[in-house]
Amino acid sequence: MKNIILFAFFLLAMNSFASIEYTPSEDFQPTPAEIQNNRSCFKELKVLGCSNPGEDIEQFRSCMNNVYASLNKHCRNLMDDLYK
Amino acid sequence: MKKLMTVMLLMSLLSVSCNKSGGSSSDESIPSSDTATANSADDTTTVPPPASSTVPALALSFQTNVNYMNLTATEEEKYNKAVVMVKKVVATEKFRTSVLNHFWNGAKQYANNRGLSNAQIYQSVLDAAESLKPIKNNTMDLGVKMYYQASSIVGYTNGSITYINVNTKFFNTFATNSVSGNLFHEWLHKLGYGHDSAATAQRPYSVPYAVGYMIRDIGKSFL
Repeated sequence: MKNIILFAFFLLAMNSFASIEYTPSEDFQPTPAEIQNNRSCFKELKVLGCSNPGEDIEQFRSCMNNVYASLNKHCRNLMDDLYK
Repeated sequence: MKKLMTVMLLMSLLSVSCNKSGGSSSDESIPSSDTATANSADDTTTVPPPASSTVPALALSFQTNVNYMNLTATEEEKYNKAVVMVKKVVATEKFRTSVLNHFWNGAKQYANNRGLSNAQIYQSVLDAAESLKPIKNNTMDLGVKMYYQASSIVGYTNGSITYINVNTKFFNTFATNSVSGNLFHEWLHKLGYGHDSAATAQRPYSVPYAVGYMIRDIGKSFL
């Protein structure tokens, strides 16, 4: 009986679930305007020859540093926030 | 009897202390649209580039190896965007400083931290050695399986499987950054990090919750 209890406990421990519960909050969703502004920065960087940061991050960062001065203030702030 | 109680106590300390549990839930409300603000050009004052960051090479080379088990083509397309977003966020200085500077209970630490410092936790993310595949390959190795349940559980996993389960009740309406945050939360469990199963005061400061939120919040910039 002791062994059965031990075995059952061990089995349950291995199968315990690690979950995430939904927490309603608006804080983590940007407004459509914020999304548009952020996208415009990455579009501009693409026009200036910088790769997609998801494809080649090193090229992106190197290129971004080179063209940084030509970005508008919002984009510079965004790049500073993410990469400084 | 004493021996049995001792063993049971030891086992309870070793096990992942999480359970599927219910909780409050409500529909997520999307913020109302704001008037788009035009980007205005600044004057041509010389602006130095951002100072060179200290993001380690492993953050820049972080890869993902995500295997879809039962996703539709549409679900895969959506999930791929979230996976790409994870890589973009991990490569930022902001992620590095957020992980390193996380505070809880008056100190730079996480709750349920397995005795690890913030720097060690950050390094473990970059090493990406999952518990069931303990190879430091700098790659997120993970399977993803969809299911539906009318509960408040966004997703779950357990210690004996290499994949995560994602509840389509939330996935279908989540923005990409929220999917990324959930993905990273569950992957951190695969790295061996846990949290209280009940909604305790310290649970949001555990590694899966806190770092998952960082991915979600920094990911906003890449939407």
